[in-house]
Amino acid sequence: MPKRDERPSDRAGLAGFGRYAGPATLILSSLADGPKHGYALTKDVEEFAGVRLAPGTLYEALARLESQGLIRALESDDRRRPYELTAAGAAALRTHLDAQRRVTDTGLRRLKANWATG
Amino acid sequence: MSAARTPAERATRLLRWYPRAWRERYGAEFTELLISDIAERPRSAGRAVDVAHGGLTARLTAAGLAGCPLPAPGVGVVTAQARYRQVSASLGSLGGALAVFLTVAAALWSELVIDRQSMSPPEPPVPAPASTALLATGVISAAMLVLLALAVLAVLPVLATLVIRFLTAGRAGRGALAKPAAVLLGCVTFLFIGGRHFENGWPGTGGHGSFVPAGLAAFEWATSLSVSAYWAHPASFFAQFPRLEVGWMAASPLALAASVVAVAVLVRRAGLSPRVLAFEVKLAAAACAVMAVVCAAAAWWVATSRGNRLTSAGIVPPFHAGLIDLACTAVLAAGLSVAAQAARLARRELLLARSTV
Repeated sequence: MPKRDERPSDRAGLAGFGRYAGPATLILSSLADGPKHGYALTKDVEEFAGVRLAPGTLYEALARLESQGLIRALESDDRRRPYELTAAGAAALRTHLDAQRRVTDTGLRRLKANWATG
Repeated sequence: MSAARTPAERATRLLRWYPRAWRERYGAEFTELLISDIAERPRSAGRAVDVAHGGLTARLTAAGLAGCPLPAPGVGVVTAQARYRQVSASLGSLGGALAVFLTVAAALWSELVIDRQSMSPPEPPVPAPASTALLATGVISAAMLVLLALAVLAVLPVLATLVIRFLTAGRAGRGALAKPAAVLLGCVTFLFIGGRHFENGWPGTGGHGSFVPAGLAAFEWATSLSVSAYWAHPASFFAQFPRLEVGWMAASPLALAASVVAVAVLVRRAGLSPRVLAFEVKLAAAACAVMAVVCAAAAWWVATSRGNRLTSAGIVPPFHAGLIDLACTAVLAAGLSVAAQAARLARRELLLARSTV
């Protein structure tokens, strides 16, 4: 049973990511579409979110996600190793995005009710 | 000129920010990403800063002061063994922070004891700086004793493990333990002999007595001589002190640093058992609490005794804290902060290791 003041994201796999939660969400969202290596991840995130993940930030987040079992490195013949989403990663992303959607829905509803003239 | 470097060369240079273990795991793929990024955006200060930040974070992680350990190659997730290694790394860093802390605390403490032992018995009522300093000296002395006891408790199981490992290891294993042990022994011997030699210059004798044995205070004073405001005034420093003493002041912190590194290497190579690690983590928490007491006592004394007011005879009166004492207190606070972070992460990784299948 969740505690009364517990946020939904506290129970999600991204709760311990702190300031890496943003990059982690973008990476997991990108990998939800299929395995990708570092550069392909950067380009995909840039395309769907308009954010360019810098190399150092990307790999800090990748290392954390991998160490928590949310993504998995795949074998590769060349030096660019692709990563794929795990079942735990998919569940964590779903929980996190559901929580984000509730915030988004609430914000939009309140904007519509009180700031409709804009 | 460096501008002519190829993207591959620039990527390789950027990769040097990261520690070896990280490079072994992610180096090849990260280099490929950097090469593509450099080809697309040849000039980017943000990329250099981002990579430097990532590399330093990875180094702090390797030292057990940030983040979480690297996932095992081929396994993906972090194994219990990797988490126990991380606990050892955190404890090694805590040991380093504690060594710096103790050196600076010893310098402050010996300064207080010098003032106490060189001044004439104060007429009642005792002036405020003297009473504050007396109390600070008492608190710091008691805390140092407790830290010494904790250090002995911490060393015993590590020493026992090292002896067992040494006796049961092969030739290569013995060599891996013998080298840092020899460095440690050499440095400690150097510090002991140097401390005993230079304690003859102890300026705290001949005055008012103290509850701190003069011999011990003199030794502490000599071993922490490098903590000095004279470094900021090199001309008078070199003119005033004999070459041998200047050499000692320069060499003793290096010897201390070498011994700390040797201890950290020994702790890592010893492969301490989970039970010993759990014991050391408990001692680490206790050490942090005692360090906080020392820090508070020093800060209190410095806050109530600031200012180098000269007497009519042109002498700084006893127990008045100067800039060096303020700097020492800042170093104590920094040492405590690092130690507390290491102790917190060591405890976290220990709990995670126990729950890892």
